[in-house]
Parts: sequence; structure tokens; C-alpha cells
Amino acid sequence: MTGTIIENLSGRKLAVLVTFLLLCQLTCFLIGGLVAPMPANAQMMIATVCKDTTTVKNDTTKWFYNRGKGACQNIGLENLHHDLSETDFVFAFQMPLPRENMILDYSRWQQNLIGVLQIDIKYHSLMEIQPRSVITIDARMAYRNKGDPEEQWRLYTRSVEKRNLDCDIEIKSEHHLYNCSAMPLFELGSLFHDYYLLNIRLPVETPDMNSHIGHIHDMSLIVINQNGGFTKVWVSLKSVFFPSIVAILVWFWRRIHMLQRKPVLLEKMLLSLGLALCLLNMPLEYLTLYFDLPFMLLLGDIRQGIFYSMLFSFWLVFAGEHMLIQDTSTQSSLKQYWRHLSAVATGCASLFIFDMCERGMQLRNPFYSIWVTDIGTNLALTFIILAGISTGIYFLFLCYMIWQVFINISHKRQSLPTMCSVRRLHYEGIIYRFKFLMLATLLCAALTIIGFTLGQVAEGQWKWDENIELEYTSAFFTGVYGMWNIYIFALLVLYAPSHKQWPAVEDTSDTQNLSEEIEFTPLQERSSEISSLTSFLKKATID
Amino acid sequence: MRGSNVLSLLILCAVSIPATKNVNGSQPILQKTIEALFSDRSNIIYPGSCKLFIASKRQAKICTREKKFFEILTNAKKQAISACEESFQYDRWNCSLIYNGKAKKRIFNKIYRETAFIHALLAASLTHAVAKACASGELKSCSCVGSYRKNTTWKVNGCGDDFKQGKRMMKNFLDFNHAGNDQIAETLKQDVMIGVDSIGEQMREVCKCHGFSGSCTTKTCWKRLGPFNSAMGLLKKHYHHAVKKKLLNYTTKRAITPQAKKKMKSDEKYLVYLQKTPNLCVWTKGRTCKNRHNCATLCCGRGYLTTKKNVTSRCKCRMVNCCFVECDTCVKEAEIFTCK
Repeated sequence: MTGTIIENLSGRKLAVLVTFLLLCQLTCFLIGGLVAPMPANAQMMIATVCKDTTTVKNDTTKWFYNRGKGACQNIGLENLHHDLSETDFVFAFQMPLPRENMILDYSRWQQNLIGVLQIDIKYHSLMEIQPRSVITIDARMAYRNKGDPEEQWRLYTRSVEKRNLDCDIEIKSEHHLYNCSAMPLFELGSLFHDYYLLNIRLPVETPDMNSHIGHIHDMSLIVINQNGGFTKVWVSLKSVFFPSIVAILVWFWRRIHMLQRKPVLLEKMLLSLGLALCLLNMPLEYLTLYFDLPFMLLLGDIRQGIFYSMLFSFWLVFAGEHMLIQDTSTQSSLKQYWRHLSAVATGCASLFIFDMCERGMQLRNPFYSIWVTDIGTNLALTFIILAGISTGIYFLFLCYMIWQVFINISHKRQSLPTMCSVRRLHYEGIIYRFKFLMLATLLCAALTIIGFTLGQVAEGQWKWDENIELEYTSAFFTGVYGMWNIYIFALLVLYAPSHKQWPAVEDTSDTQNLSEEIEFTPLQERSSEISSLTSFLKKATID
Repeated sequence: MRGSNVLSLLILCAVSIPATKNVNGSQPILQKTIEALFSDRSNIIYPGSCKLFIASKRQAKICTREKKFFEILTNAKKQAISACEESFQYDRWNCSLIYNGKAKKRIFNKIYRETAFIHALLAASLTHAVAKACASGELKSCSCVGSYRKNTTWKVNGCGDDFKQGKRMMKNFLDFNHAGNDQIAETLKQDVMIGVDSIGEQMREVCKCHGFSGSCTTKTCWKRLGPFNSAMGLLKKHYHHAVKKKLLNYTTKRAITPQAKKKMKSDEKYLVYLQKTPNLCVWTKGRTCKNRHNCATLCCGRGYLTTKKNVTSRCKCRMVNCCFVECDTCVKEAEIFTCK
């Protein structure tokens, strides 16, 4: 009879393993806190207003920028001549900004670029912004690489977009500015080129277009990119975790194949969970250093989605397999869990559809946003709410199942005093270890949820001046990421089938053990394929 | 006409040569620069790289290295003066350089409440203008201060916000660290910091979520530099709540005692001045006031005249294009209050 390693492992060995894993966890946390900078960096840039006197405005070879050869003159919006028409203005943003007397360029380590547009509108008593005003933006993006001539900008993408203006004002007096909320403008999944340029125009093709947006005073763009240092730390963590998880998976699968029996459901689930983690761990970011891969943001979402759905399904099956609801003679299969798993599937599917609608569409048009139109907003909200409901249902299922497992265990525990000492000690050990692992799962889950909600709740509590605060964010990211890797590593190790004959494990010199072994023979015959904990529980039900 | 221009230029050149040497003399650069910037209401352009005033060596270096710095300086000066004149329009002190029209009573002669305010105002305006110039890419020497580890590049660690850069450059330009440590210098330094902080205080934080599926698992925040007007409101509050300190000794340049420094700490959040402003009531005759309440204060109880006058104003405004407002001119009869 073979059990899993956790049942046969001595307390001392378990303690050593747990200490080792905790040390790894601490290292992950400290790497994030001490080596990595904050995950992302935001840079604000104010638009340079250029004059476009050409008659054809559709020319995408003509670019406006404020630095370098062929730069335009900033005409400013304060003292304008009335002979200029609205289509003559171009708001230019040249990225990145120069710093420390150097012309900076983007590095591919910086991964992605997110743009948020902020429009400053001056109050004018007779021209207040109407609520729910829509601004139409003709946005054109160009790129240039190092070594290219300074005027050689190439078209990256172009789009005419609508955005909702959401402005309010405290003091309604002239010269005061509206407080307009920032509007997301673009998301680039790859930062492949060295320099980027954004030209924004406000077209007036129909009389209603851009007519109720007030008096534009200024425009600024906030560009957010991942920090190179953070990417490096992240990729190095992945490069360490990926081979270790692959190695432990190979070891795990080999151990199962050495057995005479076919792998049980729990083992299959563990294997797929390991595979999902491998997919998440794969350091694909290295490829972005050599190839232009705009789908990396989407791929990252999908990889995370697969991992979390696998993890959620695993927990369900894990709880279910210790529940003794199924008939002992049949091999348990995924089909038994279809009701529970459908909650996971619905949640994942709706999140996937939402992501495809947002980030998937952004592959074609980086300026696209689902939140602009009413239909889009409703659609997006529907999918998000659907995902939320399924998560809720899932957790209800999970809690119910875990509760039942614990009831079962405590119920069986009452019959423990009737057993003789060695056997009782052994079972108590098994139950203790099962509970220990349950506790570890709960702890990891709780920490992740705290991490998830912390980002939402921490709004406004972000301390900008204290840099320790910023380091903490990175530490939290690497900590949580390391935690799930270590958790699954531990599961793979502890739930791998043991090769030891389990009665022999406790103490070979104890002669009592041999007599105890006899008691188990009928049980072993009946269910030889299942780990000893479940078989113990099953025996009790039969009794 | 041309002759007089050449002449004045010659005189300026002649004056500026000894004057440049004089800068490092008695008054610290901080005080001198602010006085020069605020006093210069005309559009005299001095020769030299900073062009607005006679610069110290350090300032001249900054102005030569950064071609656009002169423009920023002009903008900061204009912004400060126009904001001051606008918000003190109906106050006894109307942002003038001299008290009661007497050329000898310059506000920079001593550290009056107004002098303290102007130091804060110009420091704020300069910080604001530099921060904006950093954000628009006009200034190239903005550093990445605020990114928390030294000896790393922007690509690795990112860049701090523009406000910190504005603060750093303003301090550098005004030679803040070498302003001295006597009572006057300490007072003015505190006033300058009040000005800078009022820019920092009105900044608002904006965040963007960009984590898993666009959720807030990853969130990046930045501080938004507001318009100068909103900082002006704060500054004016500071002007009214300024604290007077006892003058220890005006002439000596001795460092203030630790006890005095400790005492200053208690009023850290207030504008500090050393001399009482002379009575300004004598000079408010003929000034326009806003309403009954304001007239009572501005006219110092002497009463006011009410005249009716046709005022032309802009009305029926509409947006012509994206960025133009076209208005009709309307004539309206309005009451105007003037102090007796």
C-alpha cells in the first residue's frame, strides 16, 4: 500500500521542508523589496501646441514634434490669432522627455506603454461644459528608432476616437480651470521602438462635433511604463521558478508512473495545476527584447487566467476528494464536479470575453476602449458582474465542501479513542497534516485576497513621498508570486505517492506495528488505489 | 528714438559690469533675485544670458546652459505679478512695489508682511513654471530626483515627479543653500518654502489601474500639477495669517542662536515677517472697491462714492472652433464704488 509523501513524512522532515520553503518565500519578498524598484513609472508631459497650416490634414507623413531637427514652434493657446482654424492645431507629445541633459529613449525592458490624457478646460461663464459631453480626438502615433534621422517619424497607428468628458468645477469664475477626470487614451502592449510621438487633433467635421467641450486651456498626457528594473527582477524570478517547477513536475509524474495503478483524479489535477503554473512561469518576456510582440499584455492576462482557474478547480476537487460522497467502487472523475466547476468556467469565460473585447481589440487599435460607448460599457459591466457572481457562487460551494470535510473528520475523530494507540497516533497525524495543508491553503488564499483588495482599497492612501511605500508594492508582487509557486511546489512534493510501505515508516523496531498492519488488510483490498487518508475515512463510513 | 536706445544700452552695459561684481557682496542672491524679478515691471532686457536682471555667476551659468531658462523666468515673473495684481485688486496693498506712493518706502527695504509674501509668491511661481517646463520637455536638465535609489538610470528605476524637480531647480537658481543663516535669511528661507509647499499642497493625486484584465492589481499614481490660480488662493491665505517676529538685529550677519531657531520651528507653517507694514490708508483715495463690505475695509471708513457708468463687457460668447471664444460686446450700466 502506498500513501502520499505527506502521510509518511516524519515531523522533523516536514519541519525542515516547511522551514526551507518559508525561507524561499522570505527571499522572494525581500528581492521585491530590496532589489526591485516600483513596478511602474508615470511621467507627465504637457502638450506642445503646433500650427499645421497644410490644407490636407489627412497626410500621415507630416508629423509635429517639439524637439530635434524640424521641430515646431509652440504657439500656446493663450494668445491666438483668430485667423487660425481649429484644424490648424496639433497637440504634440514627444516621448520620452529629456532628462539630465540627455535625450532619453525607451528600452525594451520597459515592456509596455499606457497613455492617459488629461484635458484642462478653462471656465467661461457663457460656455459651460454640458454634462455628458463627448470629445472627438484624432490621434496619430508615430515611432522612430535610434540612428534614424530626427525628422523621420513613421506612422505606428492612427484612429479617430470618442471620449466622455467628465468635468466639474468648484469656483465658477473666469480663469479657473475645470476639474476634468483623466481619460485613458491608449495601451501599447509592446515598447519595441525607441521614441514615440503622439499628435492629437480635434476635428470638427460635423457642426456638433467638439462644440460643447468648452475652452481648452491645456492638454497633458501621462505615460505609464513598467520599470526596467522591475521587469529584470520579475524575469529572473520566472527563470528560477520555471525550471524548478518543470523539474518537480517530471519527478512527480515519474513517481506516479512507477505505480501499478492509473493516476487518480487528484494527481491528474495536481499535474495540470503544475502545467498551468509552468505556463505562467515561462519567461516569455525575453522574446520581447528581440521581437515586437504587442499581444504580451493579453497573453499575460490569459496565462494568469488559466492559472487561477486551475487553482480554483483544484481546490474544489481537493475538498471533494476528501468528502466521501462518492461511491467507493467507482473512479472519481471530473464529471462529478461539473456543477461546481461550471462556476469557475463561467467566471473565466466572461473575464476572457471581456479581456478580448478590451485588450484583444487594442491589438488592432491601441486607442480602442470598450468603456466609451454605452453599449460597450453595459457589455463590459455585464461580463464583469457575471464573473463576480460566479466567483461568489464558487466560494460558497468551496466553503460548504470544506465545512463538510471538517465535519467528517471530527466525526471520525470521535471513533479514534476506540482504536489502539499506534493506529490512533497515525491517524491523528494524518488528520493533523491534512488540516495543516488546509491551513496553508487558506493562508495563501487570504494573502492573495488581501493583496488583491489592498490595491483597490489603498486608493488615496498612497504615500508618494515615502519611498519605502513604493518598494513595498514590488515586494508584495514578488511575495505573492513566489508564494503561489512555493505553495504548488509543496503540493507536488507532499502529494506525490510515497514509495515507503507506510506502517514501516513510523518505527520499524516497534513490533506492535506489524500487528496493526493486519487490521488494515481488508481495507487495503477494498480500495487499494486511493491514498490512505481517504481510505481511512471511507472505512469509517463503511463501518 | 534710435539714439536714445543705443544710449540706454550703453549705460546699461556700463552699469552692469560693476553691478555683476556687486552681487556677491552684501545681499544674498536669494533676496537680490526675488527683488529684481518682482521690481522689473517693464520689459527692460538686460544684456547677458538671464536677460531679466543682473545675474550671479551661478545663475548666468544656468541661463547659458539652458537656452529656454530665460523664457521660463519671464513666464514665472509674469505669472506671479499678474496673479498678485489680480487677487490684491481690492486690498489696501495692491501689489505695488512701494508703499503709499513714496519712492523711498520700497517694500524690499525691510522684511514686511508684503516682502515675505512676495518671496513665497515668486518661489511658488518659479517652481510651478520649472515643473511645467520639465513636463513639456523644454528644460533638458531636469533630473530624475525622487526615484529612490542612486546610481541607477531612468530605464531601471523610472523618474520622480516634476514638482520635486521644480523645487530643486528653484532652490538651485536662488542659491537657497547659501542664503546665509542670520535672522533675515532664515525668515526668507522659511517664506520661500511656504511658497513652494503651497504648490505641492494643491497637487491632486490621480491613479490608473493597469493590472490583470485592467483591474487594480497594479495601480500607478501620479500627482497632477494644478493651475497657478489655485496655489494663489492658498498664498493669499498665508499672507493674511502671517506671523510677525521680533527683529533681533538687522545689521549683523550673525547666525541666529539655536534657541531662536527652535522658536522659529513653532511657526513653521506660517509666513514670517519682521517689520510692521506702514499704514496704507492714506493712499487708498480714489481706489475702486468691490462691494459695501470691501469698501469699508479699503476706504478705511472714509466712505465711498457711487457712480454709474456704462461698462462694456463680453457677452453671448460661443465656441467658434475648438479653442476660440467669440463674444459680442454688450454695454451694461454698472455701479462703481470709489474711495473718498
